[in-house]
Amino acid sequence: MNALTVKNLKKSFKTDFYKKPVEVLKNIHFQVAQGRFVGLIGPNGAGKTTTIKCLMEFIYPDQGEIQFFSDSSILEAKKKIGFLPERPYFQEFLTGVEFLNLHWTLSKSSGDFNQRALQVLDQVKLTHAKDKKLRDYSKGMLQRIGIAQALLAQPEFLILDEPMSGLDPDGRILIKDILKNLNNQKMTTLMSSHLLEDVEELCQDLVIVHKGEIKYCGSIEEFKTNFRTLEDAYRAFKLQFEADYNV
Amino acid sequence: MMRLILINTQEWLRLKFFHVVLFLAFIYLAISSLLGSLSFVEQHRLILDFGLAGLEVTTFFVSAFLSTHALHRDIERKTIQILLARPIPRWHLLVGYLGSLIALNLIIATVLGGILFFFLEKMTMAPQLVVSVFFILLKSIVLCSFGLLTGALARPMFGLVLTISYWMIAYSIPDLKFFSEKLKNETLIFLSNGLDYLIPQFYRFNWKDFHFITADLQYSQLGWAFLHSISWIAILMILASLFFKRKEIV
Repeated sequence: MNALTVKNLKKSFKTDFYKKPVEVLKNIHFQVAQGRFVGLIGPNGAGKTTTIKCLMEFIYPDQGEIQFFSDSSILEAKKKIGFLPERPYFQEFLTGVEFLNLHWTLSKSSGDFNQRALQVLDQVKLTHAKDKKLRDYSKGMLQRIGIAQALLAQPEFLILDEPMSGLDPDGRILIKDILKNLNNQKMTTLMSSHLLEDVEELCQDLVIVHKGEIKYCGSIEEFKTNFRTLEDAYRAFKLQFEADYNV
Repeated sequence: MMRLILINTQEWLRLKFFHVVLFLAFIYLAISSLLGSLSFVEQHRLILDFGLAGLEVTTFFVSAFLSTHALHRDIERKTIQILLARPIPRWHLLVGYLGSLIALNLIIATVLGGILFFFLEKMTMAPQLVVSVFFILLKSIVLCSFGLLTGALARPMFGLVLTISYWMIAYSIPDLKFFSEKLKNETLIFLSNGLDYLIPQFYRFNWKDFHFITADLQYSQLGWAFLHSISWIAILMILASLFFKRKEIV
């Protein structure tokens, strides 16, 4: 069963009143199967974040269909989704626990908050900083508390937009460990990233977006047959489709 | 929704802009008290006229600036993305902003109104003062609703200009009507009459000066002003919700 099905997604933006709209997403279609860790990759401006914004209904597609599980409404689906945008701002005057409590209330979760908060804080290795104000957190710690809020309501599907951008090596290693654990627990995840080595290490499936179009959707193993690394395979693949489309 | 109101209020209370406006309001009230003490006969009149005007201007600044910038600030910081990723309808966020702005204006009204009352030292004026402060608060909430509507439609600076214009026109309709009648210009008369229906009639419950404080206000006047404000708040918030529902968070 698919956790997410995206069909023929199109989206244009008007940059100026008098200019023609720019087509950012031309024909996006892919699926995320339950229990799979999917990497969404592509160059800057390819349409990764726009796709994610369409999925979360922050923006509305001009055309196309998005289906999460078998839920008919996005509000219903959001109960099962954990989301972390790229480099967000968190209310820095809150402590780690207060921040999680805010999101616990908003997610309308039932059960014992304290127990769940301790679980996710342990998962992201922030138990020691639970009573610290967020303004005293490092960038890596903020990213980890961001992942904690995404995991808090025990989601069935996790959407992460560039979770490792702007982090130092230590921060990246920590986030990668957290994501590996989630992968071992068979958490369905869609992660956009620029970093091919991270995608190769974490993901089972791959979606490549280029100039608003899907260039590949399938397993990583299949994608990199005949190549040593994902980077090599991506390099060869890019050369091929650039030649095909005269890009 | 209560959590959204609480978190936004906590954020507003930490804003430097809020501290500066409140500090200026304190200075203004102190000056009004000093001016009052210089006068022998009109002491209460001066304190009230200056003090309540100061209170209205303070709530105006806070409402206009914060309501027009609230949404854009959260969009820029991407806080809104994390909030909207939760299973809550978008209008909850708007109610969260409005609730926190009401709380903020309530704090301002309580603190400044309390200081004003302390300066007056006249218990008999307390009910009228409370009524005046309450209606200043209601006007500020109407303004916040309008600011949130413009925030959902336009960029913050444009929204701010619109909100300031809205506030000014809401007070100046009688003058506009007067001038258009004096000019005997049919188009202007039609426009000023139209504006009277399209914009809240703040001039009808501008009870912040001594004349109104000392005169007994009719319950029907109070009831009308209350219903008028509540209706405008409802209309503006419904419009803001409809526009925000379709707004693209880029």
